[in-house]
Amino acid sequence: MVITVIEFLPIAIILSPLLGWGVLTLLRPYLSRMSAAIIANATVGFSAICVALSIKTVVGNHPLHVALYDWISIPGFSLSFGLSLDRLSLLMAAMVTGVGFLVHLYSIGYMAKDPQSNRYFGYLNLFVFFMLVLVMSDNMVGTFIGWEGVGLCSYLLIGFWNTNQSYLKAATKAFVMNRIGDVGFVIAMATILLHFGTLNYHEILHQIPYIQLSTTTLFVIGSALVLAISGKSAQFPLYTWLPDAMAGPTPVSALIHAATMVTSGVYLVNRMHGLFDLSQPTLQLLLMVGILTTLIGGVTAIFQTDLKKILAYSTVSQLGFMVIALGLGCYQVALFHMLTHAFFKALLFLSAGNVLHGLAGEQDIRKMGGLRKMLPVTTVLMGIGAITIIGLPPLSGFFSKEAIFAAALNQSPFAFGALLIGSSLTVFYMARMIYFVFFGTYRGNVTHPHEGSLSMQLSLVTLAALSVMGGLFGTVFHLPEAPHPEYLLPAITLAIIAVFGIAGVLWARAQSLKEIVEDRLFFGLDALYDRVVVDPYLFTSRIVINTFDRWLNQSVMGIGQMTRLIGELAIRLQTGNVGTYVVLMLLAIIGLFLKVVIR
Amino acid sequence: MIPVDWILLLATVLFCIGGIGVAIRRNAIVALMSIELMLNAGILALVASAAHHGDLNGQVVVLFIMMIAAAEASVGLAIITTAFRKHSEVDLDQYSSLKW
Amino acid sequence: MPVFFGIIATTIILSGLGVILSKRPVYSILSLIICLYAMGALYLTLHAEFLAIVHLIVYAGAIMVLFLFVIMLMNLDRPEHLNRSRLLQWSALAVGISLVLVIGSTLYTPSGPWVVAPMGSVHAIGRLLFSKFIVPFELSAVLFLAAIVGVVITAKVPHPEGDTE
Repeated sequence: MVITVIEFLPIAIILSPLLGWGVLTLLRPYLSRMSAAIIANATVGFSAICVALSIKTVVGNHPLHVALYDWISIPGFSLSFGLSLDRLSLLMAAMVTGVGFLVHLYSIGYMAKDPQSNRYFGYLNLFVFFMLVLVMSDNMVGTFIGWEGVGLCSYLLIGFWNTNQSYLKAATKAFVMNRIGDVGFVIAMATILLHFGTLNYHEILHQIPYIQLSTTTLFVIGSALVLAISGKSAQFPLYTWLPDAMAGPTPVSALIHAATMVTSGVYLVNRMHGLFDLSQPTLQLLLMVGILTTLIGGVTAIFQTDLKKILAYSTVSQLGFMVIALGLGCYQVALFHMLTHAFFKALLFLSAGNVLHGLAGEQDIRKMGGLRKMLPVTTVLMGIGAITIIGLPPLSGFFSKEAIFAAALNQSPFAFGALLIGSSLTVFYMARMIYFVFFGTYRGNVTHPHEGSLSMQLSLVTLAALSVMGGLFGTVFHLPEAPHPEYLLPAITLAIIAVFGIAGVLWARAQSLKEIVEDRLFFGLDALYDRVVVDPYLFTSRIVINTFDRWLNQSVMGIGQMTRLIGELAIRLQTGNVGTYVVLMLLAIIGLFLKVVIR
Repeated sequence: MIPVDWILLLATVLFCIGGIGVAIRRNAIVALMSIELMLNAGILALVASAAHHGDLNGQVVVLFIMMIAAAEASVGLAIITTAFRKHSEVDLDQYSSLKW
Repeated sequence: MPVFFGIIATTIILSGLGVILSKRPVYSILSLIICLYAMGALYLTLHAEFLAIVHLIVYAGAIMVLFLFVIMLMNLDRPEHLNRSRLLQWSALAVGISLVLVIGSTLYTPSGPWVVAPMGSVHAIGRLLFSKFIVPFELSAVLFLAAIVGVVITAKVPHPEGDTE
């Protein structure tokens, strides 16, 4: 009996947030704000409990698998849709529901004054549902559905305050950029289906040893997946949507654009790692993409003046770290960093949310300063987040970064150098940000900044605890051995922190005294996309409108007019006179018999 | 025995008489009777064919046609009665409210 | 035999023309009854004795009486002018004649001999009706029910107070 209950756990995990979304959507006008928040929290919390209940079975090497139904069944291809909960999926599900629950909890306080908060909680529940589909589906198509679904929720939530035109533009941009990546996903699926005849992960990985694939094929699959990852996980060519995505409410940035959705690329590579193992060029490509992303993200973060954009570029940079680890073939290391990053980046975003909340939505760090006296709790929490992300031992960020360093040191000195630079940049922009926000003199207009409500502080404290203790999760993963002198990496890290921390503070101090001109460095990529993609597109559309579309329009209208003309002729047949009808009927009968006669 | 074609030709003539009747008469009741004529032409053809092939199925089908004819006549007359009550007229040319 | 058929056929055609050409509806009905009797006689020669009887009872007996009732009770027996549009009349005539010609031409090829089989008895028809045609037979009961309901609803005189339903 116990077994059967456990078998149902994956279904319960998935359906609970969906149920919450359904209730919140259908009953939106009838629910009070508090009850909507409670429903959203309860459903996600229930999911989290179910995940926790399944831990023991799954870790005991009994992956849960539930076959739901035969979804597609055509000759030559059949796909049965199922949920599977192995260790990888369990980790992701735990992260999604855990951080998801904390963000829901935080949102109670954060969205308390928003008239649309019921809609917000509905979207958030839907996001958790799709994210769980993404990580728990046992086939690529299911993952793709989740992949698209989280993209949709991301779009809905970035544009949540839909009266602001620029927010909507940011939402559209995120959506379009993600679609470009999705093309890669579809190409990868099609190629895999062509060569393996199945899209089920288990069957794919099972067949790999028996199928001879050319390096070209593997590279096509791999690079298509890299494209997909660079869209969803904000990597080098397509990362520009992520900073703009900060238009959404801050908890959304924390959950979707820092902790969960953007890490689905890491999940995908882990899920398909059998394929990546076989293709060295693909791994090289991943490595290059990761290095570029880390450096660009880090450098750009230094020059930002918007609190959330600093964190967004920091996320881009940290995602680059993970992709570097993937490119080195150390998939577990990337997972570890993804987990700790989910904790400390969610903490940073949510504390930033506290700051914005206290300052009535002000995001410009030039209008902050000296907040440590007004927001003491937030200062401590954000400080914890900051020292975690810069990798101060023995906090969780140190362990995961150290693992990446160790992996790089073993394999690629080049990557190690890039990691050092990226890490230094992290220290630099974090020190600058903390100094700008919490030290110096207050430069803002809002008179009485205030701390957030109890639910916000509660979830922040939990996240802070997880950030500090997260290093303990390292035992779960398969990590590379530390390089020989054991004190080498901690020493390097400490040195970096000391040097660049002081440099960052000094630079911030110098900057905060005078006006900063917003730097356009590396915004060039957006402008480049505008020139290369958007402008020619608009140009061609104009041509199409003026020639082809007009012609098409007229022909379509012509069809309508012709139908009308025929109708006006045919209307004369309805005389309302039975006699005419009978004559016509007799004529028709003659016609029928004529066929017999002529034959 | 006479050839079966003669009977079939007779049925055709009867069918055409009925059709012409519906076409040229304005009285709804006479039109209905003309329709009965057409139905009877069909029955005649069926009975003749059944006898020609020695097949009893045709005769059973004729029974069904009679049932339908009875139902059709009663409903048709009911409609005519109602229409007459409404227009005090059984002229088919006057019934045109369903026309466009 | 051909003589008998000639007499019957002439009667049928003449009385059929009488149906559609009489000025007064009552004459039409009487012509139609003659037509139906003649057809009944024809059925007797075609091994359809049961059908002939049913034909007379149902058609000449029931349906025609229904027509007569309606005409008499509603006082509809007034002469009517044949002044419909000339075009319609002539085209109806032309189409009718050409239909006869067309079908007649299909009948030009000589047909096979008559199959002589004992048939037409009530016993045989009843056996067929209750075995092979049982479903249509039952369905025709439903059809009659629908017809009854339809007639009652259609022909009911609305209650003066207006609460008809």
